[in-house]
Amino acid sequence: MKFKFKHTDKIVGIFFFVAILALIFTLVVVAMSKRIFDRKYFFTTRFTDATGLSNTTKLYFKGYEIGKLKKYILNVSNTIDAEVAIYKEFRDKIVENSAIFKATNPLTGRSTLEFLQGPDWSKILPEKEYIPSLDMPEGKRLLQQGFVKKRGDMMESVLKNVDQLLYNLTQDNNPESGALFRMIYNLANMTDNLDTVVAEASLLMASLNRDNNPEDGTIFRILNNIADMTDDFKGTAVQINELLENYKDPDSLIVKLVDPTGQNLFVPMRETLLSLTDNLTTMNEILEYLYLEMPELSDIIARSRNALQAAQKTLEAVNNNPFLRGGIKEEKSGQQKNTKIRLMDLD
Amino acid sequence: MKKLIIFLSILIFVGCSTLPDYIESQSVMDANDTMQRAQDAEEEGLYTQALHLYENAFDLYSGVDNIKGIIISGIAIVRQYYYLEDMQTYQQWLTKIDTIIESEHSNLMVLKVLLMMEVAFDQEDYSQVLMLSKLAQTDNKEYNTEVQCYRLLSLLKSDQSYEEEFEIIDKNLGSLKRMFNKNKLNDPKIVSYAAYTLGYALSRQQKWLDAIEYFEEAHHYDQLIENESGLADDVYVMGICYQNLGDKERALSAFIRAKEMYENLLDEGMSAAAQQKIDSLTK
Repeated sequence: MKFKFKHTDKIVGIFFFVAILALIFTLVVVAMSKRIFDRKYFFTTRFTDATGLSNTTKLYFKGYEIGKLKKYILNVSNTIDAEVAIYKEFRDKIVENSAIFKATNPLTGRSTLEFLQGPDWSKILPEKEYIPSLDMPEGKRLLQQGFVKKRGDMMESVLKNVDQLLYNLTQDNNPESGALFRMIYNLANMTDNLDTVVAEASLLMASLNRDNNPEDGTIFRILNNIADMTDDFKGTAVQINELLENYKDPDSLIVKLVDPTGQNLFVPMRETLLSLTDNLTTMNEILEYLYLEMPELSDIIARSRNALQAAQKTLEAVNNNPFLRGGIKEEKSGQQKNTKIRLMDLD
Repeated sequence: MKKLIIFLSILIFVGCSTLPDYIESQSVMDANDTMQRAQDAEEEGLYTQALHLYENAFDLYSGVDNIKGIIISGIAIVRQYYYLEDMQTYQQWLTKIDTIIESEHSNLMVLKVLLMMEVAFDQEDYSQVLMLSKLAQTDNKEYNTEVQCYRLLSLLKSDQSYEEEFEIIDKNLGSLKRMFNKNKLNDPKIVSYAAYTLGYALSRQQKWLDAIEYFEEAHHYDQLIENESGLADDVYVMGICYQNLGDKERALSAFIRAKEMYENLLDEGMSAAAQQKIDSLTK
């Protein structure tokens, strides 16, 4: 039987209509998220350069996005004229004596704009009016006069601290600047005294090198006496040496005492020890060989074990398979199997 | 819906059927394995080794209180003591097993009786075999056939009529073959043994052609279970049948084959007997 839709046109129309509605809905949602339909208020500003600026650069106030850079152009005086758009809900934040701070991230090269609000919040700045940036003299004046406060920038703070540190390192007599500089200051003073110490040490070494100098002090007298004592010890050592020379070969004494002929104990013992040495050498070779082969052996054992485990699982699966179970010969273990006597006497 | 229920039922059925059967404990599996090795040793005539293995199996079965295993391994131990001609220990073990069977598993009394019949038959005490065969009442086809075989042979040896026993064995043989094909026999050797016994009885009546049929049947089943000593016996007696039928060529061929097989089995007595037959035919 041929299958056929009854209302093909209507069904296609519904699908098409739904698709159009979905597209429009998506576009509206995107436009709303981009604030396309929001009312915006425009103000002008000026920067010394356009580094890091783009049409998507946003203007922040207290962490909120209150507007964005609309357009910027290089004017005849080689500064940048820019126009910022402020969203409707933040319109009343734009007051007189406010400023814009352009901070450029040295790592990414992108700039962010921060709105610095003026002190009098009741004096709303009319639209299209000029908001100076801190790059420009007007903005710097507002900052100096305390109309706006610039929030600490992290990178700038780090660089400032590095600059201060480098300055302090180049200065002398500044132990009050901190523990590090006090330590450096003391180290410098210590090196000054080192020359005197080295000179004195040199004199001391000269005295030590001289003989018969008891007039130099107690220590040198002690050293002189120790030198005399070592001469005496030298004579004693010669005598001890002679004594040891006499008892250098005690074997004969022990041999005469234990085994005069040497055939009963020492010769068999020597042979045993030599044989043992040979055996130990062979044993060492065997052990070395086994040690060398050990990784391969253990590897083989491990692989065999894995293979057996896999085989066991496979056989278990095969055994449990309902289609094969009937075909596998069942093991009959532990059954009575009597001896069946067969008679052969047929002649 | 109906199809879905049928499909699910099949799925559950297949799933359940894939579950493993009753899993025996490791001790029982070890004991079964030891029994198997002991039986192999016994077949090779290594009775001391077989005795040791059967005793191990007995201990393993005792450890898990497997009564059937205890009785079967115990009977095997008794048999080994008989082979080793240690009749004192034989009697002690027989009494011990008798006590266990009576108290725990009287159904297995037939096993003990069969052993005693085997011993009596070996000692050519045929009246004792016939007396014991009356005690061995069992529904088990295998044991029943074995009892009837001993009974038939004893009757034959004591020159009595054995038609009834012959018919019983012949009837049982059909059932045993079906069980063999379904792999349901505990001891598959019983099929070839029954066929051989019938062939032997017919041979004694000098019905050589009929006897050959049974011997060939015994040979077929011995081949299937790789019973090498049984195969050698089958070929040897077939040679005798052919010889008596006057078919020297076939008889000679059978004796040569039988001799080779006995040589492989290190059975010097039967090898020499086969050689004598060859010599008599080649003269």
